[in-house]
Amino acid sequence: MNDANTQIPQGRFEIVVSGSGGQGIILGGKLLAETAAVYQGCQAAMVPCYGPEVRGGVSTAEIIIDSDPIDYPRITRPNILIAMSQEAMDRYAPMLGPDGLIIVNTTLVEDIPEPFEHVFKAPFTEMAVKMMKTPVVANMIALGALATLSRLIAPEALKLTLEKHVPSKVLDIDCMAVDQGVKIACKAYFGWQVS
Amino acid sequence: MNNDNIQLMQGNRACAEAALAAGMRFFAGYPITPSSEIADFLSSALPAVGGNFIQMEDEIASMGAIIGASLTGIKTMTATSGPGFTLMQELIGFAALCEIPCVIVNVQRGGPSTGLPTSPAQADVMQCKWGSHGDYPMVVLSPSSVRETFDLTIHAFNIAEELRTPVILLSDEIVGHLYERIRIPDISNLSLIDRKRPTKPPPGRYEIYHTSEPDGIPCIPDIGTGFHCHITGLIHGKDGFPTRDPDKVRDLLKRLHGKIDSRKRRICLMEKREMEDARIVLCSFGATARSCFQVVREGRLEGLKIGGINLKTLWPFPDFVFQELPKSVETVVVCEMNQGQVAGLVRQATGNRLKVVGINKCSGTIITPGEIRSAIDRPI
Repeated sequence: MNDANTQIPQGRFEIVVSGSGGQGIILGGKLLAETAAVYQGCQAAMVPCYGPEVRGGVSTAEIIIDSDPIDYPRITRPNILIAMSQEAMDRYAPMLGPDGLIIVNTTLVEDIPEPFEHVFKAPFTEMAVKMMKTPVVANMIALGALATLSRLIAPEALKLTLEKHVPSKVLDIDCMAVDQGVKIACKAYFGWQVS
Repeated sequence: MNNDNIQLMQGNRACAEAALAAGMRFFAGYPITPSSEIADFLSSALPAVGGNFIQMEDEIASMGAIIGASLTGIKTMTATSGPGFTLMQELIGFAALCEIPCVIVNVQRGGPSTGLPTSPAQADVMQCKWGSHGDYPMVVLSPSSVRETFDLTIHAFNIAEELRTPVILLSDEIVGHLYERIRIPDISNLSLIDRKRPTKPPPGRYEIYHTSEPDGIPCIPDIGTGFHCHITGLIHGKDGFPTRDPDKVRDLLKRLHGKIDSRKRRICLMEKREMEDARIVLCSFGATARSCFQVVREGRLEGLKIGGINLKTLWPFPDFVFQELPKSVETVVVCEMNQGQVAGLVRQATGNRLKVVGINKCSGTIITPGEIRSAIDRPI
């Protein structure tokens, strides 16, 4: 499933997907890690972190993708952050290095910290509501954008993973959401890529 | 490349899948974070293979149910976390004394009491061994990865069946909730052990607890197969009936310990890395072992003489490992998310020959490689 636009990453990549409970954060993290593990031939680990709440509260998926076996499965210095809420941004942006990539859901994040060079902004939640009539696929738009910007996973591989995990009646909307993420990321492509 | 068996799987799911692969066909439990995924999966997967799943009213009843079911000859399991594990203690002692095979999964969370339901800890090591009253042996296995969770669950059932004893799989919130890439082993190639049982009642009296060796394992019939079985939590003779005869009491208690202790080297599993010429050895178990191995890997690249041991079996405690360390070892650093439960055991095992230092953390967060590294970079 490695197409020309995807490279097997060399070394360790740490990705944080964070937002509020109910935004499909853990599912998003699982899909990302599974796509890397099953279709991209990488080692992958995902740690879900959440409080006791079902809705609200910060919910985070820590994903490690590595060409070598993974010892420590938690993040130490993330390369990429998907911030789906302000609280997520405030909590995880300080952990990123200056060369990190931040993918921001501007519907729910107003303040973006200064020093970051690579920031991709899009109103994922607003887009999801407008185009797919539901806010819950905002995570899939963000993953589509991540796939395109980072080239860590192929969008088509992500869709194969989705097929295994979401009911068939919503698969189409989820795939549309991924495509939408790919589209806006391509359009706004600013040259950042996994080095 | 054949991707069929490669999956991203959660630790808890791997435990449940392995239990099914081992032939477990009865699960009774009361879901509790961070173990709930085990019960959740088995509630649909067990009936699908002809097994039984019961959500019980509490953990005391759960433990009672798996003991009862096990006595009928079925491989049984329950899964819980700290608060539920505490409730199970009385019947764990009963299972140990009455030699009833079963597997108890404890996915550790922060304690004491209700504690930190969604945060990790490793503070139940001593409770596993000493949680029930009286002297009884215990087998406790501790996985540090999703694959290890699978393998140790199989090992747990094999030991439980072979030695007729309860076995505790002591996971933690991180390993239980961790998703990892895993290649599922071919189920048909797994080596599985079934308890020995008599086939039909002999003409004379059958002593259900009879063994010919002092560390032997009795051949207890399955209840309901025509034998007369008396199972009691009172100290019993070979016929299963209560006794206060000092010789019989001594023989039973010695045999219970002997059957585990004499097979210690086979029960005790561990992973050692970079031990030759190591001056410092990082020793850990469960999730924290991952941090240690990261430090070992990075340290070796920098030329540090450092090695690591991941203890996959915590009880019986593998003291021989520490008595057989390479001569180069000067310091053992024990990393654990508790106040030093395993460090004390390592000190006991090494006597005064080695320096034993603990890195401990009880904040509901994992010990990071960075924290271990800065601790060993200071003069120890």
